[in-house]
Amino acid sequence: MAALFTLWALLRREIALAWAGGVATPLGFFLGAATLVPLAVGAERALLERIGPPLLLVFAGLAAIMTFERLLQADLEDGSIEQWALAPWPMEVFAAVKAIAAVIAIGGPITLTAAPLAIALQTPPAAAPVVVLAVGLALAAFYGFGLLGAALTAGVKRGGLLLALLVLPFMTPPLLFAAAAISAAAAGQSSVPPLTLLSACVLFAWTLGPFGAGAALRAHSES
Amino acid sequence: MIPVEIALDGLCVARGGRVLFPPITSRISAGAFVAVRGANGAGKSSLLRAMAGLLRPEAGAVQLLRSGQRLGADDARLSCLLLSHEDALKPQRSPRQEAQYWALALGGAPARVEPALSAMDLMAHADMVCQHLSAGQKRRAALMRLALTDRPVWLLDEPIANVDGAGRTRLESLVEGHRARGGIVLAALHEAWAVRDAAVIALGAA
Repeated sequence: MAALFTLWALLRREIALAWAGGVATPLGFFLGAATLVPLAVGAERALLERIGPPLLLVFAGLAAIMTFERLLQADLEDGSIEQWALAPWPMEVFAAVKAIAAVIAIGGPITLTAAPLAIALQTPPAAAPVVVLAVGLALAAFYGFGLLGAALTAGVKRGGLLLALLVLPFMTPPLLFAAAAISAAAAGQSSVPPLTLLSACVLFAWTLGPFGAGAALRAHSES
Repeated sequence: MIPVEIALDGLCVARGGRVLFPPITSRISAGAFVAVRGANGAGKSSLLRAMAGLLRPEAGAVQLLRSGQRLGADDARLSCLLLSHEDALKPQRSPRQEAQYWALALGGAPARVEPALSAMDLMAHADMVCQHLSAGQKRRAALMRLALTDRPVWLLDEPIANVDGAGRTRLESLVEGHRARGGIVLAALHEAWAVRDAAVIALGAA
């Protein structure tokens, strides 16, 4: 019980830091890019209906990638990771808390704005709940892999490009399943099978992410 | 706090393939203050990091002994509190918020936050964000971590850098209180710092 209270307190602090550290940039990028789509491709209904949701997912993924580099950077520079290595909690817990906070503080607003944007891009309003679910789960998977990438490239000068290259292949399956879920919902079919596979991606990302990141950060603090 | 002893057994640390100092064999008993001295690059910080288990020794070993029994790696890790060059403070958080965080993260009691703040005379600035604090005030906020937990071994990397006379006096009283309870303090120092019964580990070239 006391442990849960402590974890909640640690998480609240990381959410506050992630929120203050710049939800505006990725959210602004996501909103801006989505608004530009109909201007660039024209207001043809059938075309927008087809390419709108996949583009939203791509923009959400890119917005997430923008934030990966900062995920652990401040903690590395200010010596926090060194302190975590001497804490009674395993490094995995600190890493996971960091990424969960990013999913909530940065992924949350992007997920919520995805629904009105999808409707604006001619997705049937009935599919909006599936859009929210698919974008939210996809972002959760992205951040699981992003955490691993951020930990592996911690301490690499200008490691952002390397990080993106590392993480992109892992981001492909959740992206595919999320897009399949939305197009199924828009066509009036069941979106359960792709959403199930998407959830499996989330589970995979979150078993790989925190443990890989914990090991990488331990190795980093011991060098 | 249960006091420990430290046994350095031919400890040797290397950075970038270069051995920093000749092997150190020493025994540090409970209540000791050890000043680690040496020129820039002599390996003071690396020695402290090796003692915290953050750096694998090139040769030899650091052992923590509790009433003669050797502590396992996890117990040894949780017996050490490291204050490195980095203050581990977030610029957008206040010293009080950071104290609350580190008390929880390092396994200290939240009830010790306020005493820790007043121990380093930070009450007047406790709710200012850290980016508005001076270098010395930030250092005091980092030193406050010493009062948050009950770890027997304090490893301080230049603790008095940027800290004014009043701050040093407060740190001295923290250090003396810690020693009186059987704690060990190792401090890497450049400047003279008058602490009673201080032992010295002088690091020369290997």
